[in-house]
Amino acid sequence: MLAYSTYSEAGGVGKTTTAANLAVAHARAGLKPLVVPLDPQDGDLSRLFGVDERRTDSVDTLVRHMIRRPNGDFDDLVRTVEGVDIVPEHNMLSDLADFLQRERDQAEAMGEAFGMHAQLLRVLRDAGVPDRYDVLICDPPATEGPHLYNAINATRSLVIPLEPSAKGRAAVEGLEALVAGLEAQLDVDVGVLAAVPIGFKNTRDQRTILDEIDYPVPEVIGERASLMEGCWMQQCSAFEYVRSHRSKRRDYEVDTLAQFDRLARYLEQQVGIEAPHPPEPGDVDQEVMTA
Amino acid sequence: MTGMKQGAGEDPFAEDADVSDDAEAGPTTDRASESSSDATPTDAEVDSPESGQETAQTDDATRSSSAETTMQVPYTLRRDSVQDGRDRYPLFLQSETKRAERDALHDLEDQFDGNVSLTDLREALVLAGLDHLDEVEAQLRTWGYGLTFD
Repeated sequence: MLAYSTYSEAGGVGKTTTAANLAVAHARAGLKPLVVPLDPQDGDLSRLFGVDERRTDSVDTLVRHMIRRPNGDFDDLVRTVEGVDIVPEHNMLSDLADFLQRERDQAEAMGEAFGMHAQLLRVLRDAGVPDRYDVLICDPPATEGPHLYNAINATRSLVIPLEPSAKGRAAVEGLEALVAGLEAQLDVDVGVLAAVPIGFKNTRDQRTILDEIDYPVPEVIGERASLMEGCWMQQCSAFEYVRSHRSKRRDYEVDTLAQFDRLARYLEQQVGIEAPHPPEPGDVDQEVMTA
Repeated sequence: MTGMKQGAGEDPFAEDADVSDDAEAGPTTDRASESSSDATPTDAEVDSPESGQETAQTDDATRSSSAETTMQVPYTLRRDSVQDGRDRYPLFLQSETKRAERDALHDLEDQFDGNVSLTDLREALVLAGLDHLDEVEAQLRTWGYGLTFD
């Protein structure tokens, strides 16, 4: 299974749209992806895919599973959109740190151990995710905390969307330190599958910064604010947006879709997965394959 | 840059992967790094004002010269992360507002040599707005507050 977290320290870089579009790109090629977004705030991946309507309801949630108090089967949490399985975010995620801490205190009082940062991994493993899915994508929030730690622990690999700017560079350096700390704490080995510069305008400064990135940069994505805002408006992936909501195809947007396709193939190759029906990159009309 | 290798990390679901719960304590307490995108120097382990150790961290002392005279270390240096001392309130913005905020951020980054945290900017915008409630009222009116239908 290919497992990664999309992570960037700077907000607004395109982390969530990257996760969403890569998930659809994997699904288009006939793979079965599971996306686990963990952002406690509104305006998150669940919102993008239009599966956020129950986030304030009193329903079973991933958080309940993480603190060993599920109200149902893991599979019942999952929603499917555009061939992508998603565990929708819920407002309980805002208090994840408290819930985990309380559970841990309780466990310790009972002489048990409770790994606060290993719970997502445990839930996914217990649900048989590695056997049933080809790709796992976690989309944690851009801040340190149990959401991020659980995501990194459950995936061990990162895809880093970044703004090709001094700010983006600082964010990658901050991430280095954070991951090094986490590796030491959890005794895990974390790798970077790819850095994905987004919003590239080909200035000299930006080119310099790209040259400095130590990680593989399979694709450099240009400024696509209008496309991405359209996706949020229509609550769908960029593929679906161009297919169903653009009256006229715009070449540069189709090029961006091709980049997501190629990026997905690149990531799959890194772990030796071969997609059964890879579309011609950017072939908008290839329907999502449902395995 | 150290710490992270290129390519895939280990398989989290490998048979022998140690999911056991001894890996704990978590970096939350000893904060491995500066998490946020703001410009706070990570080494700003400035002693809290009450500890009164002015000798520590000369770097930061010179950076904030006012700290010596007023004994009040500025917020950006005092905190461990941009969220310290703050509660979370989600924000809903119209896209034009979001764009204006982004432009303002970029302008201010020019003023301050690079990094301004969005979180800081937002609180500053709120504070500035509180000082100019008449302008806030005018904005609300453009959104239709105060309309009467006779």
